[in-house]
Amino acid sequence: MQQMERSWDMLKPSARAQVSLNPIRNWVEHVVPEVEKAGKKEGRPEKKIVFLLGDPTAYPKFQTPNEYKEIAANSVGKIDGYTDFFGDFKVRTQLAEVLSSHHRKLEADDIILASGGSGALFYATLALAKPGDKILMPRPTFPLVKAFADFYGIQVVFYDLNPGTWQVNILELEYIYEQNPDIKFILVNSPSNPMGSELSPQALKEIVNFCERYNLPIVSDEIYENMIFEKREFKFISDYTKTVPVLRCSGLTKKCLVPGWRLGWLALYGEGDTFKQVKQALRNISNILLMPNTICQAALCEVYKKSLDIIPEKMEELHARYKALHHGLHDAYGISVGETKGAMYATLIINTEEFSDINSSIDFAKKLQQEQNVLVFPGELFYGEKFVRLVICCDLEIIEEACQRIKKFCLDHKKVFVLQSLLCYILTQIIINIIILIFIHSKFFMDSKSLKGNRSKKYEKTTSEERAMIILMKENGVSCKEISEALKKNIKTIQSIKSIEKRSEYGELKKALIEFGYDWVIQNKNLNIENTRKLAKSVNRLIKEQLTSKTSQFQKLIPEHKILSNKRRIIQQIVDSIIQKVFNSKQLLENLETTNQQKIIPKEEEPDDQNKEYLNFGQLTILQMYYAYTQFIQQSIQQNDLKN
Amino acid sequence: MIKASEFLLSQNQALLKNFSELQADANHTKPLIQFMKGDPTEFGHEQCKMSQIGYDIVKSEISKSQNHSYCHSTGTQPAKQAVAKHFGHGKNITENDVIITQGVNQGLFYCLLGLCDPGQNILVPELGFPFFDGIAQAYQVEVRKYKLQSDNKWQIDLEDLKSKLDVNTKFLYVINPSNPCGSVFSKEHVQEIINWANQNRVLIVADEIYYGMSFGEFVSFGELADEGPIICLGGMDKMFFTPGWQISWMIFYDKNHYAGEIKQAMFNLCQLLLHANVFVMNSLPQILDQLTIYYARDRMTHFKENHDFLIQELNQIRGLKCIPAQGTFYLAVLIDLDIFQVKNDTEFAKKLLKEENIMLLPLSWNGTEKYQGFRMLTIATKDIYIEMIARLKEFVLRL
Repeated sequence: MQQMERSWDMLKPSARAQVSLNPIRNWVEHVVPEVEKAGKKEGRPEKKIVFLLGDPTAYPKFQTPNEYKEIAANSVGKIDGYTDFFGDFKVRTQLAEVLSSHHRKLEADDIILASGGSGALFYATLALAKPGDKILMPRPTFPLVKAFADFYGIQVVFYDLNPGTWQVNILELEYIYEQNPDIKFILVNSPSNPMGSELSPQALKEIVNFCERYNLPIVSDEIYENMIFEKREFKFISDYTKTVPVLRCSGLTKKCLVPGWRLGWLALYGEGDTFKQVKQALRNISNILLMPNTICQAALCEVYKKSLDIIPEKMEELHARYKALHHGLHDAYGISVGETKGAMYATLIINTEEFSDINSSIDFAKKLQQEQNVLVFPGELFYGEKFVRLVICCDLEIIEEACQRIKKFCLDHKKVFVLQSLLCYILTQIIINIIILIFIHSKFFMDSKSLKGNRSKKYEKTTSEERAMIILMKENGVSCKEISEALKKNIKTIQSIKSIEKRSEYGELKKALIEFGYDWVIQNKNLNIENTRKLAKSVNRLIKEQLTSKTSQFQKLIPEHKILSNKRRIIQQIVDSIIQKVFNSKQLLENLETTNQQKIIPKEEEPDDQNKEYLNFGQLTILQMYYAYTQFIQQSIQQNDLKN
Repeated sequence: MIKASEFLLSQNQALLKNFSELQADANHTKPLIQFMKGDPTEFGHEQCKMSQIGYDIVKSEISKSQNHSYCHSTGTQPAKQAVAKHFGHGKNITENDVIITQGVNQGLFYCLLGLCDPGQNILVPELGFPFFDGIAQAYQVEVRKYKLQSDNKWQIDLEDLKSKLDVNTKFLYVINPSNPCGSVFSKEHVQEIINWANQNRVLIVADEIYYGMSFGEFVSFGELADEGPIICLGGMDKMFFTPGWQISWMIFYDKNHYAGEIKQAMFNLCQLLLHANVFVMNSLPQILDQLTIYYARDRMTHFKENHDFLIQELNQIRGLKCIPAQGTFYLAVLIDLDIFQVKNDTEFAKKLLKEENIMLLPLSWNGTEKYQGFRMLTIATKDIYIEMIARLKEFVLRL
């Protein structure tokens, strides 16, 4: 009987709930305590400086104003029961009036109250995209919508913001749309979290025109609306269009300094019955999650109106803090302060190359916590890299103190260039260049044959069953030493098998994609292959698409256990190989034009033995170079000895 | 018009379509009598109201600065501790076994999302709050209905329950006290269900939003939890007559830690939609201490009086048959389709609305066609019921 098979061990959560969903919350609730446990450096400053959650009320100067508290207190007991699940009708009518712009009048029907700005974004995302659909998001970005998308199997296509200015590159948008005409909406976030940047009127116009051309709705995350420096007037993206449908997601959270209230809304800007179906979908979801807290609903409009007066003075305070940070770190080593125009964030752009042991912003954030007790969010949480985010709501003295600590931290990790290492560096560079030259010259490119040629004799000594066994044991966490004892093989053999098998996991996929990418470049007449940077960028995009698109023929080549893993490194390798291949064939072409055609045999048609010859020649030359190099080093050592 | 996602459009569609078709005529000669929402505050009866003490506690919490900030995704520590203290039933429940949710609906939503993979099934009462009916299909989860014994205080038919169970069953959903039946399980029956679940290794998700709202005894599933895990959902919604505040909780009774991974997954899910309102959450410790978990139970006389009155009066009307409740403010009333010459209760509701301007929730909107009738609410005042009964009698006379 089937019932007999049931056991308590079957009590497992659903697959989708097993991964941590919100990188931000995860960092605060899990990673920070772990780093703390892992140990702090001796002599670390006692006082903790926290720049983590975007919660202004955690800082003395940005506590909830008493006016708001009074309004809320007066609202207690006004509505205890259920309201319409979209939110109380009267409240929505009032809010619609407040949010109406000069060219569009909103009705109660166009407003949907939700639980916080995140609730509004959740509603908007699900109302427009179903599992399997694609959506377009900026990068870096606040990761919540990405979390929703991941949870529901909605594909995210990113558009990169220009680093530093964080504006939109409209040509890139066009290109992305060409590749993904089935995108359901574009997410726009200004003022932005995590950068504190603001989209210029020019950028807003361009986005609107772009959306107009392709009938693309805009989901605008406006949780930081009105929060800009220098008392300028804030422009909404919906102010620039009469035709493009805009779903404005906002809430009291940040601008009214009441994140604990959990009150947000969705305002639908569209002509006629643009949103008829969307409203139906929203009605369905609000019927599941119901309305936000009614005390806050009753206080909403009064607080919102009052906030219009309070925000500008609070923004002046924030501006002063940003300026202090900018000034305090203007002479810091290896980092610079990114441009901030609003919201409550600042970014530190990290030049990892200038540090000895900081390879990523995660590294930077963790070490900064361990050594200087300063807590920041790494850019990776926002799908960016090489920057960290700071919340700049703390008191000025704390910012000054933090600047000192960060500066010290940066100097502690400064890369050290001594003469000898510089010499080695230059030499290695030269050797690498020579190797590359040889490779190009011998028209060498990586394929399975060459891989085999590179394999050690140790590899050949084992049978394929043994190799499979080694990999299996390795995957189950058995150490190389234990395997070598179990199989009675040399530990070196085990280690080399492991690394070779690991390398060839993607072998099939790489080979196929390199062919594909090469053909694409050759056939695509519009590409200027002289401009390698641009070429690499387009190829990168192409490969990325092929690896993420569910319909791609290459999906089946991805090793099963690797489907979910990040393939950035693999993509980079594939792109490099394609570029090299293109470069080779270009040389080939040039050679063809200048030399006797008979001498050149296209690589693919080369018989095996010739291939080996090429390799042997290449290896020989490398050996010779290496020999020369060691000679040189030995000579210099001898000279030193002589001197001494 | 922009296209909305079919994923959301498909959810709750049937139910909402029903609601949209049952619209009152604003120009009707008779004033509207409405019993649609399960909202005890609707008629503003003094017995169905949060006490001034509760309001004052919330007001004093609003004045504190820390109550306007973000908190942990699963709720604030004081709130979770308070729930653990008052609903622990000596089972060693700590704040780590509690999640504060925004309404019980959110808790049920998390149960569906956090527990069920496509192709799995859940066991749901044949007549009950239809939360899963409208949305489970979108998540490719099968809703299996188990029978209730309408002639035996709506107790679960354990034979039938067993026949619905298989290896893909994820959890057993029980509603006690029940919406819309108004039934309250006896201690013995709760014990029976728990024993059954333990024998068959089934996780129980007990919806106890009407906690304590019984005319007689009430035993929580948490109180009798032992071997196997039980997730109890409760909230301030009905207990303190504040459904609008949206403060509810989810408690894991799991002394053998069979559901440890599930609990962790629920914590993860909380990071998606985040926590509930903080100042009300932090009012919870004092509200529970001062008003106690018996706040609603101590105010049941009002409902009981109406309940008895309605049974006495409605049973006299030809074609109506009340099934007595043991608690809550609901009463299931069955109708004889032949007598009213309608094909189902939806048509009955429409006819009644059109002719007498009385709006009632058909029983079949609770996820089953089996019971044709309507859900009566015992929250109103006697004069409203007298008026309603007079109109019903007229309605029947015309047949």
